[in-house]
Amino acid sequence: MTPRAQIGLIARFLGRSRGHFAFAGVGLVVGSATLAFFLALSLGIRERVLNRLYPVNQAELVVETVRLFGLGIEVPSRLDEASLAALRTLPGVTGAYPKQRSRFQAVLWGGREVIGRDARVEAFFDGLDPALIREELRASEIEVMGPEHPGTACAVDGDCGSGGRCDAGACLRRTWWDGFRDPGGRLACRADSGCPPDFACRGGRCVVPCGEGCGGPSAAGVACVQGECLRTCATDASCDPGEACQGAGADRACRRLSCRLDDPRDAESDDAERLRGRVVPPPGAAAGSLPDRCPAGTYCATDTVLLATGACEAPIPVLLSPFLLEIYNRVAATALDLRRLSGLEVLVGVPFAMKYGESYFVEDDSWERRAIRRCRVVGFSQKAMDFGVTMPLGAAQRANAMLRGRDAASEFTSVVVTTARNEDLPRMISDAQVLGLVPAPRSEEARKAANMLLILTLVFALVSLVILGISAINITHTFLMLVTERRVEIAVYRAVGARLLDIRLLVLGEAAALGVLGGMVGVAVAWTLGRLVNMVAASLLGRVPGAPADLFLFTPWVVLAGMACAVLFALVGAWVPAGRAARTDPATVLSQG
Amino acid sequence: MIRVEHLVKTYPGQAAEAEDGRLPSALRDVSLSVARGEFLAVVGRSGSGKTTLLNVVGGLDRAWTGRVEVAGQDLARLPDRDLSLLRNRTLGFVFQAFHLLPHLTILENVTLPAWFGTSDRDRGEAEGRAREALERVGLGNRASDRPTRLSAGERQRVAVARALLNRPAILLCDEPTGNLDASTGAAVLDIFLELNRRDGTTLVIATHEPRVSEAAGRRIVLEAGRMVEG
Ligand SMILES: Nc1ncnc2c1ncn2[C@@H]1O[C@H](COP(=O)(O)OP(=O)(O)O)[C@@H](O)[C@H]1O
Ligand SMILES: [Mg+2]
Repeated sequence: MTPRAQIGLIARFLGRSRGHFAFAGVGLVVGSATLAFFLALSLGIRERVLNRLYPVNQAELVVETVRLFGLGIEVPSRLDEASLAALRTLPGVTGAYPKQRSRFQAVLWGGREVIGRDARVEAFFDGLDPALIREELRASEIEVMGPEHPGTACAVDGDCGSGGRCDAGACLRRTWWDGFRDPGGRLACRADSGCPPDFACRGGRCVVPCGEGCGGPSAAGVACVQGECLRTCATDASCDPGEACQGAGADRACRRLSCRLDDPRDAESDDAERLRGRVVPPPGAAAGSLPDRCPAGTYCATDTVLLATGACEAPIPVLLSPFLLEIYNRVAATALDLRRLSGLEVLVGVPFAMKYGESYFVEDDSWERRAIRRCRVVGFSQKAMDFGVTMPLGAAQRANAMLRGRDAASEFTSVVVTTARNEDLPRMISDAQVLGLVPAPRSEEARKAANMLLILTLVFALVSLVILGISAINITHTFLMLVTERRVEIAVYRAVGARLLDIRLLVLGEAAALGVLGGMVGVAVAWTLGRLVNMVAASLLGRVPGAPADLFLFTPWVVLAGMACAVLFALVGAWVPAGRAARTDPATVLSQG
Repeated sequence: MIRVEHLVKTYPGQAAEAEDGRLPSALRDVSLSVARGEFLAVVGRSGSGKTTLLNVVGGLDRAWTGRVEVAGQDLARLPDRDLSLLRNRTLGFVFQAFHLLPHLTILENVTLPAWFGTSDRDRGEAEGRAREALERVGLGNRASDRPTRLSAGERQRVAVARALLNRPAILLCDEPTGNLDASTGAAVLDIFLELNRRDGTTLVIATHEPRVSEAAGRRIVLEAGRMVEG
């Protein structure tokens, strides 16, 4: 019997015992549905919740609090550039991205645009390396604000809404994720110890001294100009906001514009025009070569709250934690009678101000240590501080240096280490222990959560295998009955030329077909159940920031696993009946009237 | 075409019950040979071993001793695969109880042997041969009916058509007219006679009807598993 004849015969006869098969197949459907459902749920939670909260090939390390006394191991008490350099040399490590928390108190105000009136709260912030989350920010922005190319045709930029650009006839909406980088700023100082690491105090401000040239990773387009590393330029366009392309010949470089406010108290103002102050040209600058006021999009950031002088700076881009919005909506909006926020997108672009050195909780810093800086929300990240704001590392280091000096600015709170593969993590973690670094509680949580999920998945996989096992027994019974019922048919097949193997394969083939059908229905049921669960979850949870719309991940492997298990157990169940069918004695059966 | 030597067939339990006066064996030392194109009638009373003999010769029963050769092949040595092929290509069976499959149409019943052949192409061409075989037994117009709608005589003719599908050299018929009345039985017998005369098909028909055995070219008589005549 040829394989095609085999399949043809099975296909023709499958419908004949529909009733029996429907009964026998229920177990397969339930079993494979259970398996596919929980596999997809587990994958979905791992991929869409766990990995987002705790990416798999990353771990956050902090300085070990318990010292290893008397073991002859020197444990560093600090996490600084040297520890980062050591981490980066460990095998499997692809990057080490430091975080630095604010070392002083601050208050924050703003938000009138979205919540109806200004909120004033104690502010905490930290800084993190923008390189760590660029892609993640972009992905979450697309999720919240839609694709970057909304698919509308355009002729000019004006066709694409505010901030949008017309790119080759198609609109490119305004993007924010790319704005999360240190916009730069000037830091006044008295000594080197008042500047961030790698900076030196020259002429009352922190500069990058030339030393052995202006090397380093971001060296392209940077030159040593009058003892200071500055970006070279042709026009203002190649400079950061707040800078201008100044000087002539070899001295031409991006220099930050100095400015002055009419009154130091204007720094607290919300009047954007007043905040731009007046540009103070450096001595010897050609009249009319510099703008009158800080350029659009920047403001005059004064050195302290006591002074009217400062430099033009762009607002610091900050990230918020999605949990913050949830807490706000759940607690603050109700308690304080403020407007609830519909979603993350309304907060993007919102400006606010921070006053470094002031606090509602503890004693304020001295007046000359307080300063006001402007900020702007550019996105959301699970890596952002839950109660506070997260800014680019450089901005945080500048602030810590300003209020607490170089030591504070060079010590990191934690470091996120990425490895090439997930499997490299445990080794990296044990290697890092020698450096005195241990996983942050959050990273430990991640591992526990991942293990928990694994155990739950295994338990439910086992449950579904038990269901499939029971259905296999069911199939054995059904098929034994069918084989007995079809004794004559089988005997006739034998008489007209069927081999023992043909008979066996026919029975197994029917079982396999039943398995495929059961598996397909099962996976479809699982998928449908998944949609239902998603709907129920959506209505129960409301719009929890960061909660995935789809908790399930039906990969081809999940579908395959559901189907394969159904087929496998159908075959196991049909094994004995197939043998019984092959042993049908045609002589006896056919001789009976 | 068929050669049987010292064939002994004992059903399980038979030997043990031999002392109670029952038969010790269903076939006891049977030897015979059938030439190509011969029409042999196997006669004997009920229980004499006719069916058993046909089952052995047809390769449906493999538990026996002795030597059986069919179309030049030693059945005892054939593996299941080759024996099945022999049943498919060389042998045709007609049973007293017809054994048509009720869930198939007449045409599908007749085409059945082609499903178990060794080539897909042959199966594609089988329908034509099936219609031909149905014409031959006079049922060309009933191809799409179900067997349940046919009379007993018609059913047996369909069974004959099924046996003829692969144009077997040997036709083994176990009381083919046993369930038919005289006139329909005669019609079936006519078909057999024509097959034997025109196509040279070797016919072995087990029967206890004189009408059939008289039509045969030769007859052997079984009695309690022994050949007493032939
Ligand atoms: N499957 C069987 N198991 C045991 N004994 C059987 C079986 N089939 C037939 N017999 C016995 O073998 C003998 C021959 O039977 P059978 O070949 O059917 O005779 P016939 O076809 O001539 O009526 C009888 O005694 C019968 O009882
Ligand atoms: Mg009989």
